[in-house]
Amino acid sequence: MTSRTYKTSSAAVKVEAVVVTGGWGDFLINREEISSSIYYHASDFSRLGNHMFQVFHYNGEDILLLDFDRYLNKYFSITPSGKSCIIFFFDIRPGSPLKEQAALFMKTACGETALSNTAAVKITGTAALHHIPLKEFHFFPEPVRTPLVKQGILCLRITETAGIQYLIDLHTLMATQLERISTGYGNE
Amino acid sequence: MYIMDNDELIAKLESSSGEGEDTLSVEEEIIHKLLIFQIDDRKYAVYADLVKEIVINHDLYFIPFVPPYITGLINRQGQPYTVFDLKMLFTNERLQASKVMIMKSDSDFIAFMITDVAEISGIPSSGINLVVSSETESTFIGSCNLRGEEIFIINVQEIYNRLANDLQNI
Repeated sequence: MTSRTYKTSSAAVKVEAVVVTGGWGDFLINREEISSSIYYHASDFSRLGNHMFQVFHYNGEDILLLDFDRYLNKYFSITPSGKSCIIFFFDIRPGSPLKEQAALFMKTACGETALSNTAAVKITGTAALHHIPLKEFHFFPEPVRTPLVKQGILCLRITETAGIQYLIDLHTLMATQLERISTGYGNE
Repeated sequence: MYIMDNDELIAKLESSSGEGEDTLSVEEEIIHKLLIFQIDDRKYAVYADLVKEIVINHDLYFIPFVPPYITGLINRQGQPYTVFDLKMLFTNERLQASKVMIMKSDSDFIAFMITDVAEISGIPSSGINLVVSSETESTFIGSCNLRGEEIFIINVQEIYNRLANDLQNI
């Protein structure tokens, strides 16, 4: 019989996260959730409608797109500004509530029935990949933790330089916002 | 031998035990240490042993999807605390203040914005008028009279419960 020694320190566990930075603060997205990204000049989106959700035509597909700037404006009272913006593309997870909500929205918005399995989020700002030690993440204190998690804001990281950073789950965040629209709150 | 029936026995027992309590309360009355603080000019109190620390000019971080009486989060040694604006809770007006009173707890990480700390005062149990309410929840545990001024004592647990309840409706 042999014995083994394992490294068990949680300090060694790191999260590969995309840190999205604007003049407004930082948000973190788990790299695992993102399939690809593209930088655009902000002016390329000047003709984009003023709704939180849009239909974005890309590579011959109609893709559901969340304008995160509008989300920030609505819920954080932030008006992002800058010359560059990023679009993150991600695959909609099988069984995710987002799949059903996205299908409903696309059918209503453009009569699209053959739903792309890809969704996107547009953010004004810059992005960088960081390897962040798991121990630097903190849950929100109860009782505010539960409603924030339901909205897709999972936890936070506090840094001396950047202040507070929120880790968001794109699937949950988009699904809850689409549900608001479908229940009559509007795509404002 | 003095003979008494059970009713008389119980009545005497009750009156004698009452006398005993009075005697005890006079000799060993508990003194409660209260931290008196101000929200604008109005004074309130909390039991001092519930307070961890007072911090000044600390960064407050906004959080969405919470009632307006939550001003955000404050970071203390890596632990985020939920910060309440009691003025907003009581009067629906925002408090402009730079001090935060961090409460002591292993599980409920909450803090209150305050204008200033007024004093720490020892108040005997008899000096605290407990709130008698048919409802189980009350924002105030009771009040005390300090140099002619009535000061309400905050029920910290109930304020926490109020937030938990309000969040269910958001």
